[in-house]
Amino acid sequence: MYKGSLTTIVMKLLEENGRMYGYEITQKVKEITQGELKITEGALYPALHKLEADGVLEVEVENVDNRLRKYYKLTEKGTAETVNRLAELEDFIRNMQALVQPKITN
Amino acid sequence: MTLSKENIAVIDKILLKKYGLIYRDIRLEILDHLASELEISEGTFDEKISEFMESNKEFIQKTNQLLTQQYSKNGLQQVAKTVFSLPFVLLYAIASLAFYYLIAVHGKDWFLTYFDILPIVIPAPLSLIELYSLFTSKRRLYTFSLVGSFNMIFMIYLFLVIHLVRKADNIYAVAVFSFFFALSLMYYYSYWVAKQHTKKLI
Repeated sequence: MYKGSLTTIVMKLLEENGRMYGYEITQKVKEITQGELKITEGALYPALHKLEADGVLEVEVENVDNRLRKYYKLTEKGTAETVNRLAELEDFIRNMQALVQPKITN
Repeated sequence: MTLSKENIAVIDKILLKKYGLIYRDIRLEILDHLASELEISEGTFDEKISEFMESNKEFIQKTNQLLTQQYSKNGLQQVAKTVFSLPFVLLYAIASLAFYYLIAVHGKDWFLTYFDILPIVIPAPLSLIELYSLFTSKRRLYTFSLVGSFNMIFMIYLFLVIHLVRKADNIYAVAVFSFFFALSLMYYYSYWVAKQHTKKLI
């Protein structure tokens, strides 16, 4: 996984799903990428906490199945940031594609 | 499998005793992650638990280590945020004027006799309360890192800056002293904000 892409993935998933908890995020990524992309579990929670400290995410705690569960969701700032990050990522992918598979012109 | 309250308590105890996850705010999240994973596996809790925890050893240790490092940084960031906040600037300005006036009226020796230790005395009760909470099950890394970072600054005052305050000219002494005095008051506010943040984890 490229540096910084984990936070973008998390933000994109939260934008689509509203609110999610840590384990759910890892499973969703596995499901979407059919197991091709596996979030290093040790890295997920520090990334979530960092985004929370930066005001990108906010937390709701609920008692679920005899334990407390932390749900993460995007803040207003986080929603705007997600749009920017996804646009940057799209540019990056387009540029990489152009470099790796340049169109052959005669 | 569905995990009972007792099963959850067993995982919690393993995380605390075996892996040393002493902070509740870190433990609850790792606990939920592990419980969610365990719930989708086959077999009974008693059969699975030892092997399951062993297979997740690296995840538990790595997450704990990274979160602890991150929270230490967050504590310092909170101090920086406090220093650059409007309430701090206002408090600093008011304290500077008040102490400058007091020195002008009563003299620097009088001021040093009664006030120079204030930035250490004011935060002490709160620091002691947080220190006490370290010996209870309510300890949280979020508040502890904040308290640790603030106290590091107050220790710098106690061992280094206080000597400057004693030797410097009145105007410089007041400027430096008022900074730490205002910070010691803002420490209570920052702690209260952090407490509100972690309150939902009880």
